[in-house]
Amino acid sequence: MKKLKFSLIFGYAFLYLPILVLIAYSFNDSDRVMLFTHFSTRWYAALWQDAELIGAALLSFKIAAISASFSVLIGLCAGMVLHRYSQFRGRTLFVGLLAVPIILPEIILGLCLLLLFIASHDLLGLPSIRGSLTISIAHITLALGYVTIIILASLNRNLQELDEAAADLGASAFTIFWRITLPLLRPALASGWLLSFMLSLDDLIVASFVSGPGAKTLPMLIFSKIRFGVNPEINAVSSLLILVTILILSIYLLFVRKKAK
Amino acid sequence: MKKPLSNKINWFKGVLLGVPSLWLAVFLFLPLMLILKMSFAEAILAQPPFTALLNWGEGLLPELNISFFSYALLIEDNYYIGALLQSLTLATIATSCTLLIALPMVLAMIKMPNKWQNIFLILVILPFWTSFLIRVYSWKILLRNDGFINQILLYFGLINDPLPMLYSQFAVLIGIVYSYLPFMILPLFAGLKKLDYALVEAAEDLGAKPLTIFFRVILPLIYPSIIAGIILVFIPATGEFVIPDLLGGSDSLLIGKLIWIEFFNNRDWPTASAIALILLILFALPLLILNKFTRKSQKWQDLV
Amino acid sequence: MSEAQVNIAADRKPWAQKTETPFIQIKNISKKYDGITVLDDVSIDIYKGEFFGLLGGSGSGKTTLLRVLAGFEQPDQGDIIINGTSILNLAANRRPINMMFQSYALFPHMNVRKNISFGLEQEKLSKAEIAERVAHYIHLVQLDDFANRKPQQLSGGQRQRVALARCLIKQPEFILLDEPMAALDNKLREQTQFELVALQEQLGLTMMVVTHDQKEAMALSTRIGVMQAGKIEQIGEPQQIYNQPKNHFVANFIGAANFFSARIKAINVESQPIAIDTEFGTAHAILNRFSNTKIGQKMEFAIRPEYINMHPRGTEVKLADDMLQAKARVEDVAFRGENSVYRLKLNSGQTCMVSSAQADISWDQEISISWQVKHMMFLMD
Repeated sequence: MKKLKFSLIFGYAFLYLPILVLIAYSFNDSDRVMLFTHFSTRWYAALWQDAELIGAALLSFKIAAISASFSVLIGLCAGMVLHRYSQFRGRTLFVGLLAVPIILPEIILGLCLLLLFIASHDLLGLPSIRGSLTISIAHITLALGYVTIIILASLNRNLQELDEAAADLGASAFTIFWRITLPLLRPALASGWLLSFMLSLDDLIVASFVSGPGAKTLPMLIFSKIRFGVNPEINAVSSLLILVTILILSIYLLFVRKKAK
Repeated sequence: MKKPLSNKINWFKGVLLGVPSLWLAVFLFLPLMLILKMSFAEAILAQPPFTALLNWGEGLLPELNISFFSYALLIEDNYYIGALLQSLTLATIATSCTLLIALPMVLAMIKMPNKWQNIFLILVILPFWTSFLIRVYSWKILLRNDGFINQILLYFGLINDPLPMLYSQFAVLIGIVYSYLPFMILPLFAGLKKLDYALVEAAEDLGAKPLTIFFRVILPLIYPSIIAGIILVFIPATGEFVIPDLLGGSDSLLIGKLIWIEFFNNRDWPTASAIALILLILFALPLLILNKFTRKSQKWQDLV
Repeated sequence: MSEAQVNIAADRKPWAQKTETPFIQIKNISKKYDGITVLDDVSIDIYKGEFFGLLGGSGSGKTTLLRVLAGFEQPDQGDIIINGTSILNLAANRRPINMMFQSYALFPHMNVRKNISFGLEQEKLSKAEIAERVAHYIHLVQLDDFANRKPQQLSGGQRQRVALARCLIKQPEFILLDEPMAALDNKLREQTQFELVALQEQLGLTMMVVTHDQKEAMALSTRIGVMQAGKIEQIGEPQQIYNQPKNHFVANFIGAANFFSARIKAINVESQPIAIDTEFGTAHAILNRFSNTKIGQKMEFAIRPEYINMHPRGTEVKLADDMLQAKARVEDVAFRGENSVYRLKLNSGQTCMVSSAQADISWDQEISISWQVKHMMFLMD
């Protein structure tokens, strides 16, 4: 029993120490990153002056919102199809392809999609420039499998009989979808959207492959800055991102999960 | 006469099936085929930097231009096989470490009252949702020669000179374990949560000791969750690029980093594609076999 | 709802009259899943105003039959005809049939009123009409005070009434109830059974209830169909099923029964009773429901525990001609409240159960038992 408790303390210390140290250093006044001198918020102030950083952050949030919305829409279709039609031709291939981005290392997915965009540019002239569009497409593909699983799990949990009850009462397939399925799926859709949003916001590798010279997402920018050392401004950005994560997660837990129960 | 319903249903089904199918076909199936095609090309100094698969020669039919150059290179050059072995070894060690840390944590969590369980679970999910890049970066601050850990150790006089920890395989290992620990905890917790705790109590009641209970009751019932956790850690760990790049030294040549280097630095797209393809097959095969085994219980789906 | 004019099928017994045409005809329905036969040539005729009980154990195919009727499953063979028209090609949402699900399947995101009005909204009626009918049905199932609650905020009995109202409001030709009482506790169940029958008769509804509970089937139904392994074993009024089971399965499934072997001894050609040899003596019975009787044929008879009389030794009355008797010893007694169940060991070695309210018999007592020949149920499988 005691050993188990110890493992818990160790585990959580391991999980949280790096993050807490990072946040602490973001308030360090010193230019020499590692020596803690005074408490200061100067690095946060400096962020507002950094147009490149702000641009990258805005781009990332834009891409994340777009790709989350589309992956939920497409994932909803995929989940419905898997739930309603237990047999159709190519179901195995369909499921397999959905699972590919989940099990595939991101680096391979990035490579695959870049080859596609290059080939289609050569053949069709589309996409004319690689940037937010190609990154969004890649992120939708990346998140689609996860979103489908979340939606399918929610559908399977309790919707089969309610669908049948609605059909029994005379509702058409579309009415069932609109009045029964969709309202009951709301928590799953919110979860899927949020997961997809975070996946997109977090992704460095796929974006690095499919992006062009014009577009640099926040992770790409952070990566280029931390590759060869530590950077006090990045400490501040990181702390802010952690704060954003905590906020989003709290909102999710308070509103979506509570309501679902 | 009422309209036949079947037309309406088919229209609805068509949209539901058509949209995701089209997406998967264009943005997954096609790219996978392209990578296959690319791996049979040869790198050249040109734009695009590879030879074409089909050559429209003088005859009516195009000439096929298949090159096994990339694959030959991968087999003959120990550099690539070494990187693969290094990646697999590291991923194995890292996966074992995450399992060894996660399992006792989850066992401790499951005994708590529900309210506490939820709080601890949220505390696992929080870093899981925090930017991966930032989490890896934070270890840079901890592990540097003038970093947090060395400063603490120096301050307490435990060491006289800073320990060189950053830019080593050790740092990469810590980075991987740290980054993927939540991927192990979450499926394990889900599996244990579904386990009827009365079974553990029944075993206790029948006189079993804690270790016996673990090995003979808990483990056989939650092994699908353990396998799910292992897969979720092992596969991304093998293909990992960011962690070795940020925390590893020049000696750490992992397969994920190799793809990056071949593609971006050497502009050898066919070889990068061939490595990616081999990696893909390496991961897909065990998963397919596993899927056959666990399909009946459908546990794999519940866990992710 | 002209209650005064409603023909109550339970009183008229339309199935017993040759001139009546059935309202719903289930014709030779068969269905297989992965090569396993779930429904095997099932045919049932149901008359208007009937409350038909479909009784069977788990895996007997009763739920599949219900789903075929509701339109959630297509049968491989057979037809379903309502009022002379086949409904097999109608999708579930076009059939004049409504179903009450075992779990009730109430929409958790809608309150009671919305749940009940959902079906009417699909019929494109005016808002005023919908509101009026919904109010009427909410009142009918006594949920006036709960109309704005969500299903999660209701008790089991209230949920069941919402589910029922949701069905009834569509005024379907045929209502299917899937284990309607399964989620209720014992006391509530009995009360609800009476209410359900009262409602069915008052509104003149045609209903089919699927249940595994024989008491429920008997209490609710005008007629019962007993199912086993995808087949209908017997259809009949509850008393008929209980007192004249067709075969060993039905006799055993409905109520308790003691089984003994028997043999045909003699057949009188001029439709006189057949003499049947049993180990307790010869019984004379008319067995014209069996077509293939012949001398020497082995058969079986069953007797219900409550039809056996017990007499302490020495108090035996002189047996009438139409009675048989045996000697036995009491092995065990289980007190059941309104009566007791006795486990007897017959001198011939078999075990026999008797249910009786007699107080003068207890353990280890040597007794005689007797029963009337008319209570012997002869079975041939």
